[in-house]
Amino acid sequence: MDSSLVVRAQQGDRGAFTDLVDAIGGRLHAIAYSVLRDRELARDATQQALLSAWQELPRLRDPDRFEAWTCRILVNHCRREGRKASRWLPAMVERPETETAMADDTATVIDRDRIERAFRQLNLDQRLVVVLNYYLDLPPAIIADHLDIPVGTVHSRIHRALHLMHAAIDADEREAVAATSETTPPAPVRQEATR
Amino acid sequence: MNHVTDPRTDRPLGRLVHDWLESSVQELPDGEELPSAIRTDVLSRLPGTPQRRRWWPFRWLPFGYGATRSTDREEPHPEGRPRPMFNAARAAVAVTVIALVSGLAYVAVPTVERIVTPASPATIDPTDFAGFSGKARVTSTAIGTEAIRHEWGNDVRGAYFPSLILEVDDPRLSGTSRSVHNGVRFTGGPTYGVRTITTEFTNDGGSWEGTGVAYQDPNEGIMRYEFLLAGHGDYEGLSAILSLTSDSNLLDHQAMGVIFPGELPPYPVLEDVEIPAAWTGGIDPADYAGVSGTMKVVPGETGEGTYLEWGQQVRGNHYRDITMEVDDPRLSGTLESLINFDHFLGGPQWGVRTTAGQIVNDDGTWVTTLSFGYQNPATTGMHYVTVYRGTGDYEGLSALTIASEDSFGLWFDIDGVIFPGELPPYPELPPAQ
Repeated sequence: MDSSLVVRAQQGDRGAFTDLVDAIGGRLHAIAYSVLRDRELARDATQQALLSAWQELPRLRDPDRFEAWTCRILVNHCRREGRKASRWLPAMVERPETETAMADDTATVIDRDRIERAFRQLNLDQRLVVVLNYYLDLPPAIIADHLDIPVGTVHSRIHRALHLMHAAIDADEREAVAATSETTPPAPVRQEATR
Repeated sequence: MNHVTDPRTDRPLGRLVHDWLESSVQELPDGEELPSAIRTDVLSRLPGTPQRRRWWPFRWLPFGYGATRSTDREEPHPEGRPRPMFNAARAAVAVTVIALVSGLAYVAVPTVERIVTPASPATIDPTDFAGFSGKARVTSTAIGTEAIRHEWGNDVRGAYFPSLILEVDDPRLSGTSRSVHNGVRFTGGPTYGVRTITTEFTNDGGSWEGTGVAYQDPNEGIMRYEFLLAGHGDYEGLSAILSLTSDSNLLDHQAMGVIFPGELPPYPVLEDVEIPAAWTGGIDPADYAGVSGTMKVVPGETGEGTYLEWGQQVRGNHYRDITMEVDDPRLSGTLESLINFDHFLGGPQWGVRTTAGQIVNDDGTWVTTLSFGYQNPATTGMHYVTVYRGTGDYEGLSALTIASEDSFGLWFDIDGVIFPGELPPYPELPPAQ
């Protein structure tokens, strides 16, 4: 990130801020959507985060930390959007049906749905570390800097999040097996081919 | 459980999550790009959205008694341009600015908890004020513990820990501690719920005695402790606030805090706010819950400021519109806060403070029974511990929260617990063996 752009934007240069929006906006939106799992909430969180960044920018002490700083702002707006709408929590938002999903890779779709349901069991703090670690591939030290928490906390959150997801996937599979055994009709008696 | 895999492919769960997150973003109409509607909306609103400037005109504030932060040193002035001079008017303006802008707006009311504070020294040496950080490790198991079983959990009394090693970058506080804990565990919750602690740290120079409060985070599983300590021996006349956060093993801890001269400012009293009586009714362990979120401070009315040889005293800053947003709606609401603080030379916001206040929402009110905090010169962020009692729908509940200013100076992070009933009574520390 070009820190001179940040400095110019701090001084009120809207053109410089536009360049910053173009540089980081997509990433912020992707984080917001990944965490909130809802397009409307992600849109609102990203919009508010970018406007807050503009408003608060003169108070940023270190221009080199602009990216971490904006991520931090986004996190707070994700919290706010998440609290305003309870739908991001346990409810399942239907994933748009795409050609990929409609293809014959049914097992992949089941995997994805199970992962989505498991992910939705996590609280926002846990979702954030999972997204930053597994989507953006950020190392724990950088995540700690972005979220302003100790590195040890990042490690423990990731560990706990995966533990919870694994438990949720296991439970999901057990339910699916139980449901299948209850609803599957008895196998038909095989007819003799020669008859 | 550390190697969670997809049973069909044996792929680590982390890789599956990566692929799932990546594909779900790519399936968005704009993929990984910022949607044009958001871009257009944000840019169109910039002209009507004024930028907020710094609260603090650091450079001309009269903190030149000798302790000047390296980042705030004045540059040589151009020839012919007079160098700013300290004068009484500037001091008055400075105190007003300090009172207006510094300070966490936070909550509390005069303490009803037993916290040891030292006698006020005859003189205060501001150079005694220092932040510290380091590590602590529990090196012994608890002995002498008694547990009282209830339907809702356990009352644990007198868990004596003979040894905890504290290693921080200020040798005055490094040493060995012994402590005794009273705790409450709620059925279905983590191993530990909330605790009160009485402790003594000793080293070659003297000792530090005091009390603390703690909780185990139901989500993270880690312990958080806050201690207020009074110095003895070489440390007579000094106090310390010590914050410990454990790792998941509950043995190793990150430590930080401040040593300061004298004692905490007197607790302010928020008029017309009555502290609820201690709860003696039933306990529902399901009320125990972790909370996390943020607090956004909006400065309010300035209190009375006094500029002294060692720094500044400000009494009665009154902030009425602080936004408290945590993931448990019971503890979210509008925070009103009255703040007293002492700032020692060396920085405009470096010091200690006490607060009184209440969180109000549609269903009830949380009134503080204990709240104090500090700004650590090492990390620059403020840090507070607060205990609340609930009223209205929250009658019979308490809350213990820790607020830490994020290093960007935008929000305070809030972590804590809501719990049924009260903190356990503070235990008595047995004589040293």
